[in-house]
Amino acid sequence: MKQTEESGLAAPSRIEELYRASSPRAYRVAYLLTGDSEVAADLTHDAFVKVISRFSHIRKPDAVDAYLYRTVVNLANGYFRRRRLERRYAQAHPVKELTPSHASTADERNDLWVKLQSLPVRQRSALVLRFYEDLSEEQTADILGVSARAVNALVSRGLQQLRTQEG
Amino acid sequence: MDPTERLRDALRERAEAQTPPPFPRSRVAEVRLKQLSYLGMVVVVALAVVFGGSWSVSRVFGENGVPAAQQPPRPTRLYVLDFAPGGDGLRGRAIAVDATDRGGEVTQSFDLGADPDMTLSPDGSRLYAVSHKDNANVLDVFDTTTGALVQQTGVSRYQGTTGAHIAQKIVTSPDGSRVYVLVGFPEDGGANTQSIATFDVVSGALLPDAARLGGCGAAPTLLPTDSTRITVVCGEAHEVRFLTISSTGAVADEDVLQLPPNEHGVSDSSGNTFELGTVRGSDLAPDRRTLYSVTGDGRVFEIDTAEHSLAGTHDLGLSPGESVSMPQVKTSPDGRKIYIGVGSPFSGTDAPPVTADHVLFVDTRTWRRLASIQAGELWSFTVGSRGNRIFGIDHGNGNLVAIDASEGRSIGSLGAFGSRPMAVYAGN
Repeated sequence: MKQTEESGLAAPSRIEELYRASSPRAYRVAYLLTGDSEVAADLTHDAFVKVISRFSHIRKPDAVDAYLYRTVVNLANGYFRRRRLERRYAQAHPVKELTPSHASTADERNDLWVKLQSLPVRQRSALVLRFYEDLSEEQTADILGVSARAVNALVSRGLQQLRTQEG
Repeated sequence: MDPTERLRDALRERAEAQTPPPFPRSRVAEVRLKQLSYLGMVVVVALAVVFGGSWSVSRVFGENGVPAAQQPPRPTRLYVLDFAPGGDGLRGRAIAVDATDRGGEVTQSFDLGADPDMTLSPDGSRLYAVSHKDNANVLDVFDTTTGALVQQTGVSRYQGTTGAHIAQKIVTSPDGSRVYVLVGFPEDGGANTQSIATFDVVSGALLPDAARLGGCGAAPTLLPTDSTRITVVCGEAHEVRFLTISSTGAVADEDVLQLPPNEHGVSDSSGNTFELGTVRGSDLAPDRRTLYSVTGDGRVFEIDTAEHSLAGTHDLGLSPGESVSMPQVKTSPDGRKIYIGVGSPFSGTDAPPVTADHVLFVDTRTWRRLASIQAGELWSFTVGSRGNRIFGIDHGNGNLVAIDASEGRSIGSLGAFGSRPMAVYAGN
């Protein structure tokens, strides 16, 4: 971000370059959280706009990844909060369900993936960050804005629920 | 195979098949526009310094970036709630700060557990806080003069709840005789499992029963109107409940006011129209009878808590780019103004803002906007005890910031207090 630091305004090519470098991980996390590639793309774009617009405020430029994670997770939480409201207040309106695109595939991993989508969003977020991103409990707690102990409880309950669903 | 390994494999298989789509060119322009606005602000300040000269700059901004001519005669006591003083999120603290327009001075620090919330007795002599220590909810009572912990009471496993039930909020009754603690189960947003525990200040004990809040939804607002009655604003359920709490802590009487449906039609990408129409923040007028509940799209429900009725609905006339952030609504001590935190929904979505980038001053008689004050990224704000200052926590930099409520202008930063400050409360 040399150009941003010097002039406060990044060139379009620089913005796109930064997006290409920083977005894949955030996008994949968004996809794992939502199970929908279109929603994941929207969340990633929104997160990137939010983070990069204020890039000069970030004390450690190499922390963009962490900010993107946090923002994507927050946006995903907002997305699910909105969906809960939609279900509550607009039962008359058909709402597109977040069914994974290959939900009918019967292999074991897909089955696990489908079950993961049925978990509460905070449990799912904790599992994705811990087991896909391999973040520590402390790092996960920082991104989710909860204590490490709460992360431990979320992960335990999430795994327990997956096992229960497996019967 | 280990279940966690299978989960890892399933996640990796799914994720690695995904490639992010390119960043839309239209949004590149959006980024540059936002960066430009920030740059413009910097340039304006720089020009003021260069061409205004030191005399005028100091006259306008004061020695520490605050107006020199508006110093209050004595400091205002505030409490900043710090969520991670150790950086680990396992404990919190309340920091007592004596604030003037020149900055703040720390006078006390109260050690708390994780995820704390706090409230003060009406005379400011006691600080009540709930937090989590050793996987249990704990209610701490501090003497604010000496800083001493005078009582500690467990709230976990209260009335059949378990350690997973989190004490989320704590409020004091207007006469100080009771302290109410909202206990909820975080996983389902408290949809069906929240309850209110009552701490009797005179006996120093929790009452044996709890007031259940089934179906209220996540993050209700508790507003005690007298020693035994609480108004509960259930934002997700879009209703207001009027509870009378018995001498045992159970619900003795309950009435429900369903709020008017969303009429303003803020649509999301699916064509649904309700998200911004839900209540984001509420506060009682000084008479403790009139309740103002403000929706995301800028409607104010004026509710008579004695009659349990809707007295009126007022439209703030927010522009399409504005949305009331949550939960930032405060009434001035004289009841003539209501301060409302407003931000912008995340671009391209209807996700409600969690921080306010400006604060609206609204006249509660005419419902006209009196001022709109730029405020950084406010997490929360409060009105100082003398009513002439609004204090908030800026999420962007963690600073405590002040706004002159009398003249409707920003005073600026008073400094940073705590590692992860999340809320500020007014003391006496």
